[in-house]
Amino acid sequence: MDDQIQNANSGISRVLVVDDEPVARQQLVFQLAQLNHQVTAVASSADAQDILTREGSEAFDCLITDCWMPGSTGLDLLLWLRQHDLTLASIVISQSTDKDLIKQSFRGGASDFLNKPVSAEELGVAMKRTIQSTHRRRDHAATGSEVKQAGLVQRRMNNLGLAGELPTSLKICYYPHHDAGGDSVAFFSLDETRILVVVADVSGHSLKSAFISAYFQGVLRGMVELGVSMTSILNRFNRFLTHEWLESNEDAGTGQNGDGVSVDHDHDSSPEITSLAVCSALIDLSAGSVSLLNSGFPIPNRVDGNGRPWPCGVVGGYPIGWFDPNPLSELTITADPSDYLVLWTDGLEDFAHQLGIGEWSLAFKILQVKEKRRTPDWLKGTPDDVLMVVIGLNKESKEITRFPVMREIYHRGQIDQIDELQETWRRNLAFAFPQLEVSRLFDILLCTREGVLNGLLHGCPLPSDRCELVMIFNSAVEELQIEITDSGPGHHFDPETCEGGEFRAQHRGLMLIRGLPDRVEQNSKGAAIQMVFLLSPKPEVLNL
Amino acid sequence: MPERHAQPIRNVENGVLALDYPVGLESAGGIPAQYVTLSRLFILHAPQSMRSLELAVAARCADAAARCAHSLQGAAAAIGGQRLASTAHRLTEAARLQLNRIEPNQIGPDWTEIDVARDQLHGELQELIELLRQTIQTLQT
Repeated sequence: MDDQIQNANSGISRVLVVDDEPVARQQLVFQLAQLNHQVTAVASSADAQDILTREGSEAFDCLITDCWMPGSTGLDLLLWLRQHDLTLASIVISQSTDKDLIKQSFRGGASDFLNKPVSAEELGVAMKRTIQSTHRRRDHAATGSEVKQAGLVQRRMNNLGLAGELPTSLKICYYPHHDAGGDSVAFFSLDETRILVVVADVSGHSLKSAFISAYFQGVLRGMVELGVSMTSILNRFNRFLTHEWLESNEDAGTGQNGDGVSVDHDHDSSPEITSLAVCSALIDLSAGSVSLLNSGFPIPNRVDGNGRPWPCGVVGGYPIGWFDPNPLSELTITADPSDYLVLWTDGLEDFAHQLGIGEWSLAFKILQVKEKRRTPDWLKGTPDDVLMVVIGLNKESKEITRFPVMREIYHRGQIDQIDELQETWRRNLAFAFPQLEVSRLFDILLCTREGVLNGLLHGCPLPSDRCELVMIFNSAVEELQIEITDSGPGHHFDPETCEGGEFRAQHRGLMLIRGLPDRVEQNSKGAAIQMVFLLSPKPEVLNL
Repeated sequence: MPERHAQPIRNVENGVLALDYPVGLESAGGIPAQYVTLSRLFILHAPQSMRSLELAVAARCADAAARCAHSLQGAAAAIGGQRLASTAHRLTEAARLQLNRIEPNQIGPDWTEIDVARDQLHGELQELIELLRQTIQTLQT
């Protein structure tokens, strides 16, 4: 038996096996031949690189490599492969169950990790999955240029300068992670005072997703111009995704719903699943109202003239394409001309989670980005496309001066977690205001801690009571406003007349709150505290 | 260790089989002829791996010792050599700990333990090769 190359020609897919140990290598050759694969086996990473270079990596459908080999290791081979071919999927095998090794393998690009000795059954399952992965990657690579083109068209569509035609102000922040995706914004001026804004997010990032996104926008525009209601449009598109699209999709093999049956929506790679999260806002400027229709989209927020966020609803329904019929979440709210509506896709929420911060501090920072054509470095690590839309409710308001940085709601049981909560505030503030002086940050954290503790200890006697923390930045005066509100009755004493030593000892937190901020206001007998801190150095003004 | 070969080889010791033929056969796809091929490869290559291991231990080279023991472990496991695979695994782990040792006084396995495992491995390899020869002979007749 040749130590360098052994061939067992009997199959459909071609597999390259790399293992320095002759018995284990031959064992794999036997197993793979029985699975009807054509096998080439070599004893080192160097030999594998030679063959992949000489014959071309596209000649193989799967690479199986041992991890620990003399000289160049299996992980070194994966790194080399990533530089030469991103489509050939690989399996790492090892006797070690070391979690670090498994992690390194997956980071190195392995599709699977198997423990030696490998059973024929688990090898068969892993091979099937890995070969499918190779074929899928190659299909994607083949359509890569088309996907890029589709992505460019999407970006142009999302940044069309039509906002000037609307009787209101509109700001779109779009940072795609993939070449093409399904995030889109469409806006229609229905008459002089009514505007319709539709934000949508199609599942997946393939050419198919881009096509569905474009098709939805086309259907939407056509039907809106014909005067069809948004409810009818969404119901019509839901039927399309749950029936017609599936029937015409040759890949549809499993699981998709037809009559109220749910499907597995967690696997983006499933070719048969296509869904669409949509939120539409019909803004009536003369009536001062906004009618929202939500279908699986993150909850939109109204931000009032003081910069305070108000979530519009508590549930967002299900994405279009999940169920037929699909109940839509409907809500109509009143709005002042000084208000604005903020909508973001789940890509922003995922990115905030990845950064360990809240959505509002990320939204705040995104709004501060001046240069729209170039994505800042800190926004390049997004796990998904990020789209945020801010709609002013009157045409004159070109500049956002007050915007939320954080909104959190706590219950009494979280008193014990005060240190963790403080660390969360620190992360959010450090992210939103990277230039903030440490001493000022410390003052803010200290006062917030005392305020929240006060709210939880004295203002939340019942399990259902809540303490709300809101931080708002006012760019016109460079002030950070912190509001802490609880649902309790407030204190029973008059703080203006209680200045003695005993009062100080019992209410040290309150004394801090009265001493450190630039301004403090208490309402409802202390159940609502508002603290204002001047920030230095000054953050930039936000332009809408 | 020829005097040990004079005695009948005990296949089961402390509940661990020196040669678990059904396991080995399964890893050869259930085909006896393929098992014979794997066993012959083992008989051909394992002594060389053992010699490399002994040299590495003698030179107190933990990295090479761990790699050689790891290699022996994989080969033994593939033909059902459970006892050898188990001892080789123990030596691999001990050598890795030795490799990762930062402080000279750090508590953990030392070279004495590795020396003992190497001697045990040497004897177990002779036993396994003998058992494999007998098995091959049986399968071919």
